[in-house]
Amino acid sequence: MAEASRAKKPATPSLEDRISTLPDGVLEHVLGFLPADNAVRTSVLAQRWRYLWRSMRRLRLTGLDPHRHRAPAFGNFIDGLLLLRNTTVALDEAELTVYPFGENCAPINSCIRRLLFCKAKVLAVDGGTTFHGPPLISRHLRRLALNSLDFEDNSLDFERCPALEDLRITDCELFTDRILAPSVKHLSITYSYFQSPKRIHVYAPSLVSLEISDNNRKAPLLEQMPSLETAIFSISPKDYCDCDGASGDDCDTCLYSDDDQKTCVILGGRWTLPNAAAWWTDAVSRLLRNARLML
Amino acid sequence: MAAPESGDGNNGAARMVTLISSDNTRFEVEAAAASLSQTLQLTILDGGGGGGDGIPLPNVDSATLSKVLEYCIKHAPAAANGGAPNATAVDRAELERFDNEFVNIDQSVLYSLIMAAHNLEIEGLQSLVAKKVADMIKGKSPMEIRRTLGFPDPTPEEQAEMNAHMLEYGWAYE
Repeated sequence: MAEASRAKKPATPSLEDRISTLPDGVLEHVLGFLPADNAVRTSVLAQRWRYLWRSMRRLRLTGLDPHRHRAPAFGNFIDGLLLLRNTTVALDEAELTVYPFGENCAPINSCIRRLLFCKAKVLAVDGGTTFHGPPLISRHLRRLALNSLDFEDNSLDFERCPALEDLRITDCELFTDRILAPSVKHLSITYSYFQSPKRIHVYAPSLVSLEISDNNRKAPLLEQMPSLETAIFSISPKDYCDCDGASGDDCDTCLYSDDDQKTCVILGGRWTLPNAAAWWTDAVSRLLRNARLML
Repeated sequence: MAAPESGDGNNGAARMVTLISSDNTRFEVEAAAASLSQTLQLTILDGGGGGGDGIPLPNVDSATLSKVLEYCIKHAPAAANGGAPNATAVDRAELERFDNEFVNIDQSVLYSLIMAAHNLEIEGLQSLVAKKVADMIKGKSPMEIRRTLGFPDPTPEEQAEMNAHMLEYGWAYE
């Protein structure tokens, strides 16, 4: 039979043979599209598959079954996944979704730090929990997307992430006093709440593009951003100051003050905005409109 | 549609190159489309593949190559735009529809395609097919994955080894 079919067409190899001829790099790429627990479980398929998952360049800690991944089991899973990982392979991308855990924020905090130890370049965290503690440290992190998290302490200090260029904060609650992002070029904060009693200060001197829109409560104070080219800045109509103007010029919160550079209520500091003239006009007009609400 | 040229010899019409499959079929295609392949891009930038010469691809058969080129031709305009700025939602939706349809094919063809994409270094195609294969595995038990991927049912020895392995990797099954 083999003879006969060879004349027309080579015998079709079995599917198993086909997938087994793919190089490790290709199979690791495939595994990178699976939720990490699924990917690890392929190690049972055959000898060939046993260690492939250890060299995945992309980890998707998402879609974990909330009924089967209670916090302790999640911790065990992360331990196994990251301790047995091939440390010579840098992590291009990690996605972490942690909705099941609610109040228990220790596992996510530790997991984020450990993913950075694995040299994650791109990290997306999505989970209804609190991120706190000391600033993150990574030489490799370039892009960070934070969704549905609460931030406390110095958790938004990125001074020790010198490669971080892109920072996106969506649907978060910010209890921090500042965002310190010296290397960040693109920053967006949207659909979030500024919960700190003082106006949050944003130090991002390398910023090229900025979006602060659809947020609630006190809009942040922006420090100098000399390279800024494009910006979208809208202030919540509910932006207000508790002092209600009673403290006059000395209020630290609303910075309602006519002296030196603080004349512009929200946009503290001296600004040069070479390419952002249109935005500037728009932002200032919004400010003037909203400033009254603050006073 | 005059795709922007990265190569030399701008004479109005889009520059064409010829690719030759392992079974000696010749495919003439716009340089811009073929350049989605990182591997080919270098040769094309060097002025190769034009005229009667052609670039031989000894690892890619004609059936696979024609499928690969179908992908490249469809994706070339978007790639020439640097991926996005001018792309409308409609364009993107159309590409997505094309992609979904494109990988709706036999497993064995998927494997040929992913190998070709790997050899030719066509990043988008590699990811598209890898994701498709991942989707076939996603959420399945080891036994179901074996069947999906066409592994024969395990022998008793293999089954015993699988069980031992699952014990060792208990943390992945909790």
